[in-house]
Amino acid sequence: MAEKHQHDAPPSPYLEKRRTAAETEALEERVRRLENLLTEKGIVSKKTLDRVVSIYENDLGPLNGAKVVARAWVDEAYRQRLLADATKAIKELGFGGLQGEHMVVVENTATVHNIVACTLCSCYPWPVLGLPPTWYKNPPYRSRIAIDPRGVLVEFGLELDDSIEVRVWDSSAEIRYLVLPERPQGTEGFSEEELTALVTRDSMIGVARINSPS
Amino acid sequence: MNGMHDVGGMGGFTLPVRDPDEPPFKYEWEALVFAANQAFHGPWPVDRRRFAIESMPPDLYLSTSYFGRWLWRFEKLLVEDGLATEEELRNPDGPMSPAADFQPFVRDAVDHTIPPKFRVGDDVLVKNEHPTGHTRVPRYVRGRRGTIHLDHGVYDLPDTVAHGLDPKPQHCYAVIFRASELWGARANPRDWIYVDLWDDYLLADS
Repeated sequence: MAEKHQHDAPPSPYLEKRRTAAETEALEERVRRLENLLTEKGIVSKKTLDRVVSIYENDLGPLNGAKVVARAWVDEAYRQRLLADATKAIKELGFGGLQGEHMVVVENTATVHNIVACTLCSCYPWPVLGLPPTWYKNPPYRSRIAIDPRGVLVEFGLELDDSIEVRVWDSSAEIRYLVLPERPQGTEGFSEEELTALVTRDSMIGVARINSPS
Repeated sequence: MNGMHDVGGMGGFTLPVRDPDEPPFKYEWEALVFAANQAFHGPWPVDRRRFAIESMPPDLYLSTSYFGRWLWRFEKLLVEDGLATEEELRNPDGPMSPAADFQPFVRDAVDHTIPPKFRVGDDVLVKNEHPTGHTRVPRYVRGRRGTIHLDHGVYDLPDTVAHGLDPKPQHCYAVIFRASELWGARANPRDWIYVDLWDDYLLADS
């Protein structure tokens, strides 16, 4: 169903800004000037810039969140600590820092489905999910998730039964939310590592469920 | 301010196709803009940086890509604080003035003993205010009734810290709203929205 909806949709200017080659070149030139200016004036060093890029390209990503989720699935005491004080429980696995200083984990069940958004900007739990995908940061998702969460999920390929309660978390302060998705059926004998591999970024934002492995 | 950024509830946008393997940065310039933002916080608390983007003219906001907005903001703040001039940003071969002195933004730990105005379970009414400066109250909850769901503890009120005014540390809560309170008959009766709101945004609804 996901593919049908997605292919029916017209291309969005927010997926990737449509630029001409000349516009892209001008933008690249503008950023080179900025970088030159920052380093020449001693505001920021080139080394620092490179280090930041490397951290966000290599060290952070949804794998960290997946480890948190898998641990909660296999360790009931951990699950309870995670729901009671997420910042602390996530730190137990070594994840924390910028945009993860104040974490709250919300749990999806057979009757409750949580979705995370930031209608005002792009707040997102970096230490556990990495940087947000483009669709999360741009107006289409931010505008519609508030007023039509079920419709957004259908377009993303997830139809929720009408009896399920939907909770949308609009990250308007410094608290960052992570969804603990439901453990899929048919994973009873799975190891923590195998479970980790099943957990998707979108399931931890709450716009998808995790499919049973078949 | 009632800027273009406050899009919750708007119609007319088309959801994009999601790329499950999207890299954090698609272009090198995006990575550089991001890194410059992270590496140099300078005198810019997060809410001042947010307000800079909120000040973008609506047509420019909508026609600029995400990291393009970050680039616009970064240049604007550099100029505002005398760390660079428009001329320097546009003409790299021209003379370069030394950067003005800057004080990094440092906030002492907030006082966590400040008492809350509300308790979990209290019914609240969000003030119907439309400030010209920075605020973190989405328009769609202004004047609406909700209930305190969770007390997050004490945080600086964004509205003053964004503008270099005296900090106003106070409790911030997850406030739960029935979707029908916000969107009327269109809403599903089983839908709820949680918005994080500070004491100053709320009135007791008794």
